[in-house]
Amino acid sequence: MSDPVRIRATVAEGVTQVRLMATHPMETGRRRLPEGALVAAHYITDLTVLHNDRVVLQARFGPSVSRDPYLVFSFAGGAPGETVSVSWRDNRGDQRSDSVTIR
Amino acid sequence: MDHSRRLALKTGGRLGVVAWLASAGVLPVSAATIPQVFSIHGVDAVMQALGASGAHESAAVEIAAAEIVENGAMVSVEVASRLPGTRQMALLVDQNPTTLAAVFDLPEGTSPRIQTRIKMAKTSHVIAVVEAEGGFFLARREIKIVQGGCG
Repeated sequence: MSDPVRIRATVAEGVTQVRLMATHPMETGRRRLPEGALVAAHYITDLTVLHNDRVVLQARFGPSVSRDPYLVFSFAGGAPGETVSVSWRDNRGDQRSDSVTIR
Repeated sequence: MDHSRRLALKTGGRLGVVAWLASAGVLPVSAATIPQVFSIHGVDAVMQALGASGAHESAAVEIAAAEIVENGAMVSVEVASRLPGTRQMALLVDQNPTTLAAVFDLPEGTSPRIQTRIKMAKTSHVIAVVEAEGGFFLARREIKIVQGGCG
């Protein structure tokens, strides 16, 4: 099981800023181990951010996104106590979903 | 002909058809075709597949990043658009083995400003393609990489 997505959501003047970091190796499939063997491609392909039940960001990634994908963005609305959740799926079909309360 | 080769040919053929349809403007770029766009190599071909071939450079699209980055494995990049109706932003790296890095769909209410971190194999141009009211626009910025990070 992968590690939880670290999420911070803070609201100020009617705008909620979301910072998130998903723990993921984001292997391109081109990296070689010291012995020469290729490391198989393993990367997040889809990441969705919801505010309560509404989609506020839909991201699609290729293997050029860095290890432990990191995003910062903002959306209008949000109030302390409401929920921001992040879910992702990778090229192997693994997925996870985590949420945080807006502060 | 062995099985894996047949599968590769089949998959390859399908990708080709998708790219051709997209480039002919027959196929709108939907969520279903985006995964294929990631496997297309080269800025022009990716732009075509995104439906953004005719994109004009716009000063209203900005890429904020350091001029020189030590480690290409983690290049911090921020894309911002001041164009009304910005609904999609894509990030491309022209010298990477995988040209398209990320595509962001922005529903109404989400600010057209996203910060993320990408890998860069070597010094090259990062291109931000923005879909807004009135079509596609882009910005380009060179980032110098001391040590490549595409492993």
